[in-house]
Amino acid sequence: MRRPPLALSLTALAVALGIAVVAGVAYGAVAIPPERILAALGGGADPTETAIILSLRLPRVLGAALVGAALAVAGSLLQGMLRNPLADPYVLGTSAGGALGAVIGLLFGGSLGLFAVPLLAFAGALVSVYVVWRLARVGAQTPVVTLLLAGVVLSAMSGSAITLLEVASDRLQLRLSTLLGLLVGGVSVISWAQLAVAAALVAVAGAIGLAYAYRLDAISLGDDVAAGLGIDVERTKRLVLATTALLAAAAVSLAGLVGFVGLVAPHLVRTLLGPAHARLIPAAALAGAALLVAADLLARVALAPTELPVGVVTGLVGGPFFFALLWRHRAAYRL
Amino acid sequence: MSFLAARDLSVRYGERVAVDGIDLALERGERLALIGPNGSGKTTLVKTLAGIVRPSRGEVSLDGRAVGALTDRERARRFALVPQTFDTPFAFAAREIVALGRTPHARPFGRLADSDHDAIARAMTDVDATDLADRPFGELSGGERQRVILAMALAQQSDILLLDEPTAHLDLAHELRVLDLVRELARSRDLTVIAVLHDVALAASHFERVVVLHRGRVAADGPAADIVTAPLLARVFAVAARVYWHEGVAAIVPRISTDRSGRSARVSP
Repeated sequence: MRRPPLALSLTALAVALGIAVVAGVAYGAVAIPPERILAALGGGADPTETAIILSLRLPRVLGAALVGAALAVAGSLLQGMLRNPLADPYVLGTSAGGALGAVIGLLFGGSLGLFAVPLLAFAGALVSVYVVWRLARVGAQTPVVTLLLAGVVLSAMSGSAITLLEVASDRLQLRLSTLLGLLVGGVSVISWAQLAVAAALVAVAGAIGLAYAYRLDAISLGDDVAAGLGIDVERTKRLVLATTALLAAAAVSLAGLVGFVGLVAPHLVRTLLGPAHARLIPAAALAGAALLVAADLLARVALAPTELPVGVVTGLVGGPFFFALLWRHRAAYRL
Repeated sequence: MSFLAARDLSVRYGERVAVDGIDLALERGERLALIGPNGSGKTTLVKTLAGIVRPSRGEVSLDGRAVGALTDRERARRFALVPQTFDTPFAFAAREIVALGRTPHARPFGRLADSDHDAIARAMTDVDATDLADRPFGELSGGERQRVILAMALAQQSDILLLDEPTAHLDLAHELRVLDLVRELARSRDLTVIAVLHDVALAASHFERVVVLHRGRVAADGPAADIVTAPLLARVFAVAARVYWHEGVAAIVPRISTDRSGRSARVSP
C-alpha cells in the first residue's frame, strides 16, 4: 500500500477543479466559448455575455466550489473525530440546524443580513452538532445507529421549524424561491461580499482543520490512545465540532442543504491518499469543490433552460453512495 | 527517592472506588507485573500512573515531580501506554500508526523532522515490523498488530512503558514473543515497565517483581516466587490451585473437583 505524493495529487485535483470551473462558466442555458470568457473577464466582450459571466455564472460557480470545499472538509473532520465513515454535516443534521439559523437571520437580520445570516447559521449549526454528539455518545463511543438517529430527528425538527417560520412570516413569503433553494440545496450568491465572507470562513476553518490534523489521526485510533499520546481529547473534539459548524454555516448561507458531498469527497480521497488528515483535508477540499461545481453544472444543463437546485443532483447521486457505504459497513455496525 | 512513586492513590468513578489508597514505588529500569482478578483496578491504576485518569486522592510523582503538574505533552514523553489492541475504521498503514507515536514530539501542523523519522524507523526495527510498514493496520494478524502498537509506544521515546494486557488477544507463541520482546527492549532502551497481565503464571515467569491488586488495594508486592503462592491464589483469585516452579518458570495447576457440575473447586476468599 504505497501512497501517491501529496503535491502531485493536489495538483491533479486542482487541475480537475480548474476544468470544472471553466466548464461551469462556459456552459449553461447559453454556451460561451472559453476565449470569449477571457474577453469578458478583460472587459472587452459584448455586454450581455459579460453580464452573464460576471453577475450570474462566475459567482455561482465559485459559490459551488466554496460550498463543496466546506462540506468536504467538514465531513473529513466529523468522520475522523467520531471514528465513523458515515458522518457528514448533512446526515448529522448540522446543515439543517445551520439552515434554521440562516432563516432566522433572513427574517430578523434586516440590513445586517450579510453578517447575520452566516452568524446565526453558525449558531444553529453549532448547537445542532453539539446536541447530536452528546445524544449519540454511548460511553466513549459514538455508535452509528444513535448518531444517524439523532441526526435524522434533528434534521426533521429543524425542517419543521423552517417551514413554520416560512408559513408564519409574511416577509419570507416574498422570498419563497430563496427558501426552496435553502431546503433543497441550490447555490444562490447574492453578492461578491457574501462570497468573500464565506471564503474567509472556509479558509480559517481549513487552517484550523490542518493544524489539528495529526490530533484527529490519533483520535481516530480511539480516545484512550489519543490521551496516551498527550492529546487533550475533549478540548480537541470541542474545537473540531466548532470548526465543523463554521464550515456548515458557510455552506448553508450560500447554498442551503446540499447533501452527501461531505460524505463522498472524503471517501474518494481516502481510497487515493489514505486516511491521514494532513493529506485528507486539503485533497478533500479540492475534490469536494470540483464535485459540487460539476454537480451544479449538471443541475443547470440537465433540464435547460430550467435550472435544478444542485441538491437534487447530489441527493440523487450521493444517496445511493450512502446506501453503498451502509451496505458495506453493515456487518461492522450491526445495522 | 524512587523514580516513579504513587502515594495513597485513590480513584473514584462516581460511587465506585476503583483504586483505593495504593502506595507503589519503582526504581528506574525496574520491571513489574500487575495482576489481580477482573475489576481489581489494574487498568485504572495504570491509566492513573500515566496521568490519563486524574486521582481523586493522593498523587503520582516521577523523579520527585508531581505527574499531575506535567502538561499532556510532557506526560506523553515520559509515559507510553500500550493498549490491548485498538481498531480504526480507516485504512492507516502500519507505518502511519507507528508515526503517530511521535505525536507528543510533534511540531505545528504535525510535521515530522529527521529525528522523528529516525525514531519511527528504529522502533519498527526493534519489534521486527519493517516488513509490515506499508500493510493496512486492519489487515494485520493479532501478533503483527501488537508489534506495531508496541512500536508506536517505542516511537514515543518515553522512559516508562505501561502495558495493559498486551497479550490478551494472542496465542501462546505470540504471547511469549511479545513478553520476550518487552524484556529485551526494557534492557536495551533502559525502560521502566509496568505490565498488566491476566495470566498469573505468565506474569510470575516473566517478571521478577509482581504486584497483586484486590478490590483496588495492593494485596501483595514482592519477588514473583514469594508472591505467587497457593494461599494468595485462594485469597485473591478464589481458586484452589498448586504452584509449581521449574527453572524460573511458574505453572499453576488448579484443583479440578470431581463433582457432577464439572466446575473446578473454588474457595471463598
